[in-house]
Amino acid sequence: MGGQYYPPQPQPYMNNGQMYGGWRPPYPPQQYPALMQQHPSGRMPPPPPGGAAAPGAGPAPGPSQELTQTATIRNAVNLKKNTLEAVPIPGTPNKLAITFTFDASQPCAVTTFVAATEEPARACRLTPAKQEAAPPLFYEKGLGLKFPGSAPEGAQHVIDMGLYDEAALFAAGRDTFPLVVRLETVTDKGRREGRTLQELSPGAEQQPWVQSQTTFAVLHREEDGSFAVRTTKQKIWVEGVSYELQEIYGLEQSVAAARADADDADNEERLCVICLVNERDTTVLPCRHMCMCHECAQELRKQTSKCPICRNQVESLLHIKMYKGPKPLPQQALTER
Amino acid sequence: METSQLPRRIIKETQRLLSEPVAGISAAPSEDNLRYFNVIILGPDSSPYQGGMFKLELFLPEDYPMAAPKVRFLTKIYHPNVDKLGRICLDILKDKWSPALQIRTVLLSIQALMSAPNPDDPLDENVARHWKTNEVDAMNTARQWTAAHAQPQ
Repeated sequence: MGGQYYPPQPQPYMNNGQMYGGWRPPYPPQQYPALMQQHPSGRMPPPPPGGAAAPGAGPAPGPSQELTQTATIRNAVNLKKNTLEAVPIPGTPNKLAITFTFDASQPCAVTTFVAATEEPARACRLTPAKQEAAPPLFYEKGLGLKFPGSAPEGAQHVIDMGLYDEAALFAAGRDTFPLVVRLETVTDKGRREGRTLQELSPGAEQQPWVQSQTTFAVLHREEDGSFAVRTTKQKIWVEGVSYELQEIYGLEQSVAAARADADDADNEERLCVICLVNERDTTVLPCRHMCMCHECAQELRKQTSKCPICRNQVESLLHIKMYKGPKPLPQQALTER
Repeated sequence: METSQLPRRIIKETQRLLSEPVAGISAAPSEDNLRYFNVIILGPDSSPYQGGMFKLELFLPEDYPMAAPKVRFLTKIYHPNVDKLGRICLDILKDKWSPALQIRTVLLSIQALMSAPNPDDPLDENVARHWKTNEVDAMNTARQWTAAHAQPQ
């Protein structure tokens, strides 16, 4: 699969919530073992706000590059990938309805594409092979929103099995995907500039004033003859840059344990494997094992260059600050429960 | 017992070893040195060590958990990966050590090594040769040693 830097399966990715540890590096992505990796053929990320460093200017040399802080990107929309399904439509053989559940902290537009080609070099434009993309469905913000819901236009978001070889729907190509779902919102800046979701045409090159999440999936046939959908990747588009979401191993347990046992200081699931005292907040790259606190992580670097979990070489460490306050923020709405 | 300068990790590991012991393994810190553990591993079922009670010593060096614990059999054992001095040839005690491992996991690994001797990576050449040329006879010897040396007093 194109652009897969890491061992691909299994991928229950970090769908825990509202925050995606991300970063906005002032230097090219190739140098950077990315938590959210930029699409390899993507363009240079924009310079950081304030324009302190020119694009391409490297980080200051020195030990600072060993432990990197994350920036946080709040994901305004999130398709719960386990809910994505292709279900038979009564009375309409050969057609499957595309259904899923999602959260949106902003009004959003939803479009679906069948057998579509993505062009990363053209702002992730999506072009379906045969079926023209159905008109987008618009939603106000909310939790657990159902697609397609009751809107009559929803009936157009289907997979017309009669148009395709089954094989074409069962495997992804380099840039072609059997099923693609895109959720788009207008950024705050875009809204101030008077931009609206209604300006968007389905699958067009994405604008810098759009923040989106795109889910790529393949179909496969179950033993009973029905179809199941498997998500292969999810990407987000922020400020004109496309990032692929990557799982962090250990983050979900950590967050879940912190919620379930906020008072249980001895729950080892969320504690640094080295000191067994502090909470885990540091991810090893490139293997993405979140297993240490940042103090122990730095101590470890002095002693060894191997990840404590998998013994692979540590290239860098990523310190992730997680929100753990008592009151949920509005953005926490995106948390999957 | 002086616990003040003992790292929290060691205190926690010790507490859990005592409160939730692993089946067939007991480990308790020495009263005068909380980094020194007296360990007993029962010979695993369907191994030539079955019915035996094997004493070991385990020491946590100053740089634990960055460095592996030092472990040694005190009870004589006929095993291709254990030498006459009781030293154990086990990768996680050497180059495969990881600070994510604990006393508990180390002792479980030793218990597993007793169930599955590995004569291809020997510490005692003679025992290993015996094991590879006549496994039945070697296991008999191991059983005799268990009966002679590894009985509860």
